[in-house]
Amino acid sequence: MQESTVITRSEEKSSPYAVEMRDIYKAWPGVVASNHVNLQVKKGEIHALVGENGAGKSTLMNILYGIVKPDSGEVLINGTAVHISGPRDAIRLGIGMVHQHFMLIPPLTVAENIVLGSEPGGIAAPYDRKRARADILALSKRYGLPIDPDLRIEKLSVGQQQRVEILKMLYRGADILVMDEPTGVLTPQETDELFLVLRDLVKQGKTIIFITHKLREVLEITDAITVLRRGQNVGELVTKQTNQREIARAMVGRDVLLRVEKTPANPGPVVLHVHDLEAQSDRDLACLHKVSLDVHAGEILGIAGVEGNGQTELVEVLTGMRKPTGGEITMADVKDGQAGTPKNITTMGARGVRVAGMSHIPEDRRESGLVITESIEDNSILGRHRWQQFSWRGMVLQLKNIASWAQKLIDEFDVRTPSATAAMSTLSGGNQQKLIIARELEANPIVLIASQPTRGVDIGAIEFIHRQLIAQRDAGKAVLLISAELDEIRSLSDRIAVMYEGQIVDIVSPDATEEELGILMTGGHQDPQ
Amino acid sequence: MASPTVQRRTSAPASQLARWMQKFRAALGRPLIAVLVAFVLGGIIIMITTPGPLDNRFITAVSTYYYLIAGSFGSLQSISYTLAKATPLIFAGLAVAIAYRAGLFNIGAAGQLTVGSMVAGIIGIQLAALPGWLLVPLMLLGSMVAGGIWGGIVGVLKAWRGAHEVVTSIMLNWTAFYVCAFLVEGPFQAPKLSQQTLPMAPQATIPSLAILYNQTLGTFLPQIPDPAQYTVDAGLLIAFVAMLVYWFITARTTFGYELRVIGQNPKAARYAGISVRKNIVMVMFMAGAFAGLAGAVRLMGQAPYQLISSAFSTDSTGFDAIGVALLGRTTSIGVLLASLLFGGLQQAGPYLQSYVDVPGDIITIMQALVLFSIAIEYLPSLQRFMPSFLVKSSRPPLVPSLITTKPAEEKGEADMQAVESGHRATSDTVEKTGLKPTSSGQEE
Amino acid sequence: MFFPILGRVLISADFWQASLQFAALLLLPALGGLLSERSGVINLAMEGLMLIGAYVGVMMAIATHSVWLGVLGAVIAGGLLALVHAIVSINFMANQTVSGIAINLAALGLTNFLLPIQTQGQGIRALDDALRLPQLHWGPLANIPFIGPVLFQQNIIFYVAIIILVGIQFLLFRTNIGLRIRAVGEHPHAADTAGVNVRLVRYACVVSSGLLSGLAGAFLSLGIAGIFNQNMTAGQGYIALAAVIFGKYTPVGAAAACLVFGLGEALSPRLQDTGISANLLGTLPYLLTLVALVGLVGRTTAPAADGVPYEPASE
Repeated sequence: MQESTVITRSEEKSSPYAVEMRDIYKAWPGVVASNHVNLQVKKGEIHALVGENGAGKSTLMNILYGIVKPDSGEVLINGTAVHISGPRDAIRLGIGMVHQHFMLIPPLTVAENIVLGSEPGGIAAPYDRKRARADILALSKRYGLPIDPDLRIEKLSVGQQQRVEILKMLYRGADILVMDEPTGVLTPQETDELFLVLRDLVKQGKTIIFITHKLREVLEITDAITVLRRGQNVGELVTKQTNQREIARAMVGRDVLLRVEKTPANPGPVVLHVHDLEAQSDRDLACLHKVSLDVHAGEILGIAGVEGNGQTELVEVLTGMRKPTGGEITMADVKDGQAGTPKNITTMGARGVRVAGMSHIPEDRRESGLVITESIEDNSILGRHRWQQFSWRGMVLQLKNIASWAQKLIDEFDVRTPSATAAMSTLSGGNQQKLIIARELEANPIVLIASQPTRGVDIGAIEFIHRQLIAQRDAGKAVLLISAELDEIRSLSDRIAVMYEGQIVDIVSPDATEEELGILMTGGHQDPQ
Repeated sequence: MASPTVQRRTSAPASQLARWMQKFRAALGRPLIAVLVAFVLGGIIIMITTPGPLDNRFITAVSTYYYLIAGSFGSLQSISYTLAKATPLIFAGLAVAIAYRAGLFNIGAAGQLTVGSMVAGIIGIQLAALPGWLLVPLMLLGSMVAGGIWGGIVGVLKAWRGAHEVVTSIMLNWTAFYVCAFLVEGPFQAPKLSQQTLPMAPQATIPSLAILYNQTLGTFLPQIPDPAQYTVDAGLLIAFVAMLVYWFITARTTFGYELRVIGQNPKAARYAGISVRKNIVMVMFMAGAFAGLAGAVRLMGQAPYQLISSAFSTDSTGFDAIGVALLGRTTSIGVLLASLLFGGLQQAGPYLQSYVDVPGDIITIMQALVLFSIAIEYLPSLQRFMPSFLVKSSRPPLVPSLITTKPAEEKGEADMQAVESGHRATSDTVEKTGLKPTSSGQEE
Repeated sequence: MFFPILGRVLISADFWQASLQFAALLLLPALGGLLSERSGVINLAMEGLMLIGAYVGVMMAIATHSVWLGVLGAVIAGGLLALVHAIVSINFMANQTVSGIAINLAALGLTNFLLPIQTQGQGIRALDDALRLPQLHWGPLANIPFIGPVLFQQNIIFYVAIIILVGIQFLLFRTNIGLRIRAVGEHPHAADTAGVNVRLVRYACVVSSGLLSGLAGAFLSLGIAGIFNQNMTAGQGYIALAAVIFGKYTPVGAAAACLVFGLGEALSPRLQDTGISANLLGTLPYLLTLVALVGLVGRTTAPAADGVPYEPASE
């Protein structure tokens, strides 16, 4: 029934699989997350588990790690059928997992995080700091993963945190390492380093399951590939015998455009002007240093950078969610190709900035862009509920107007829902995102700030969102795109600003190579390696 | 390929009915279960503690409930007592409920109520010369302002110092009890008495509802005979007004909208430019005002019309209000129904000892059991055993901030359907997993 | 008038002895609450746990003619009631604040309900000395002026509380168990994936809070008061909670906070002669807490996952 290519892999009868999952079935209420899935991972290989978001990759791995209990199916480790009822069982069987969101405890030290649950001396003993330290240093030397065991996790960079996660698995003697989207938060250089470590681990006899949706990485590092779509197996491939297009086809079930089609930009006057912006982070540390930007009408300015270099704070300051400590932000309307008088929006709150004509697609949409328990109607006016058409003098809600507005968003963006009064939580994730995009675009903004607009979205939907962003650009809006996906930045932007440690280190053309951008993203132009 | 519009437009009457059913189940289902569980467990406790053979014990338990019902709703007179008990509970319940809308736990209704009654009492004593039409509104207003300030302090401390509202409220409760006891036993002590103030002057009281009726509508409609036996006072009417105000604020104003956003998702409030601090202070002031009214109406509507210093810390209204608000799911009608239940229990409880030899404090245990069972999330625990159509519920979790702040991370993976891919989106994805709904049919 | 009396009170051994006694009474439930909060379960129930302990302690002591069995009963009763809180908050994912309040209400209701049943309506008379927890007298040490009565003539539970304080401070920061408790309170998901049994840790901590609060209840009824009165805890459990927060969720900090509250509590009855109303003085501990919360301590840092129910399969 599936049209994707299935290549039978040569069987080696003598060595059993390190991991074999047979006929795994798991249904949540209303959703089949894993529909009779099979997975076979040979000893000593790097095995890619690929698929779109929601394809069931994480569910499958969580079953392997004992976090999720399957409804039926069998798990074999090194040829023996096992019953894994919790992470403790998995650890005992030599399975380790690095979760997509690191499972580290920020106020505890590296050593405490690593030994937690398998402390030297056993549960009843006093905490033996010296031994933990020595064990970890030995381990880090053996695998070439340098780390200071006494630092608190909150002081570490993302790359270092990942190192701690890997050490955590190795400390527990794991032979089967599961890595869930490990490169999502890394720079190209850090990714290369990680790959070196992974290759080294395989040489030492470890088996690695590598979950990703980045096809280039699959081709670069893995030996074999299992493709999932909608909770089902759709392909078992050997990396050497396949290509990006074939994997993508298997993942999506049809051909996908890997490049965005767009016409050259036709930039107008400067609409959003940012000058010498300074701001502090939640921990009262300076996180933006004299950031200056101009965004023109009719262009997409992309901001590239490793996450945590001030992008989040920059977006928050621009959208009025965070007060700047210095600098100026102005915004001008465009009429007949001419910019109007710039309006100073530096100190306006989020509400004022919206009134001035800004729309904001937030990075953590479900967490901050929606009130999941409330109705679509309520969510359709979030941030604009005091606007004249939605409330009388900003005080009494105009329910009829709100209802017709919500219906308009539903109709024009094809949000699938039984009614506009349904709670947001009854919508699928994709439709929830559509509503946010509808809400922000229908407000007819002057400036659109799109922060990680395709995070956690599957390939089909990415196309849709990209097309919307380009449509906004072509309609003469100024679009500021912030994304951790370098590919996305490069294919959509008309200019790329690179952020590093709270500064714009350079503004380059989208033709810049990935290496050039990668060097800028790590502050390389100031301090070449 | 299914047309997207088919999904959306279901026939109106059927879905209307279904929605009503859904609404009814969602609104009353859990509270009814909670009350039922509490009553069953209460019965078991009675059966355990009563002497005698098993069937005697059973009869005692059953007759306890009989007397509870008869004593609270068995006659017009007992209903009137119950209503009188329920009136302050309505105000106090609204005080807890409105704060809850913003995700705040107002455990301080007791203290707000105390200062409210105190200030109403002071006004009533000091300005006793004023005519009733001026004095009564003044007292009510005074109680609202006093309670509001007491609640507002909690809001200010929460908003600007991040002090947890539960802890500051507890401290302010005891401060209120002691300070008001000091005022009653000190500056406002009645001559020759030690622990109470003078009774309020007659024009400083709220008349009994029956007497008020006889004096107004009763002049051309049939009179209520022997009105003195019906003690419920006109404070009940004020409570109805308060319910109406509460409904309007929470359901029809941008302020109520902002409260909901803050309560359900503070991050979204920040995104939307809603001032969390300002709203926290305002909602705590309003909560305090409702609670203050509870104190004033109790003082002015019911005998002995005076403040008693020892009663402040033993009055359970402020704590019962927590149960009232939760059981009533923070809606005004719900608060009314829950107040009637709690008021009825409190009315009938004290007589149990003499009728069935069961200590009246069984009703305190029952109230605790109601609280337990309303607080428990039965659904997640039970849903593994239930067919999926029963599980799908659009209700917000009972506790706004606590339960929804779980990192939404991975579970909400977006699965936006590409419009052009032609997949039929199912609208009823379950929030719990957020995984992509698998269409039951094969792909074309 | 005021300052001479205050001065006299402050140098009297009797005042300091009473302060330390109050402090020890608060310290036990505070340490219990601290364990519970550190493991991520909000605990407002110390009030009710103490009350049930006080009640069961007296009833058991009378029934068995042994004060020690009374204490044992109190500790077990506190533990059992805390177990309810644990089940409701951990397995049923109830709102922990509401559950705590319900526990308090249930304890109040149960003790008031059972008292007339178990005493045939007679109530309880003051206990004989044989049924009360002994005051210890450390030989020659007890005779040192001032220091003797303050430190070496306390109730036995005072010394037990000190030992428990040291024990919990050690447990929390110097042992593997403590590491797990802190991990579970900060990030249960991470702890779970590292192989820590989150529910077990939380159960143990919440039940411990019941055991300690029950002991405090016995201290109150069998030690300090020598009788059980209705609602005799009168808000002390809540003050213990305040001490946890005031003490920034550390055992030593909580102990310091308890000492401050103990001083306040001992001070107010002793200042009656100054003509200041006992009612006004009674507000002292509460105002002190408020001031502490607002000014001195600043923003307190609760464990990150405090109050968040943990669902292992929520992924």
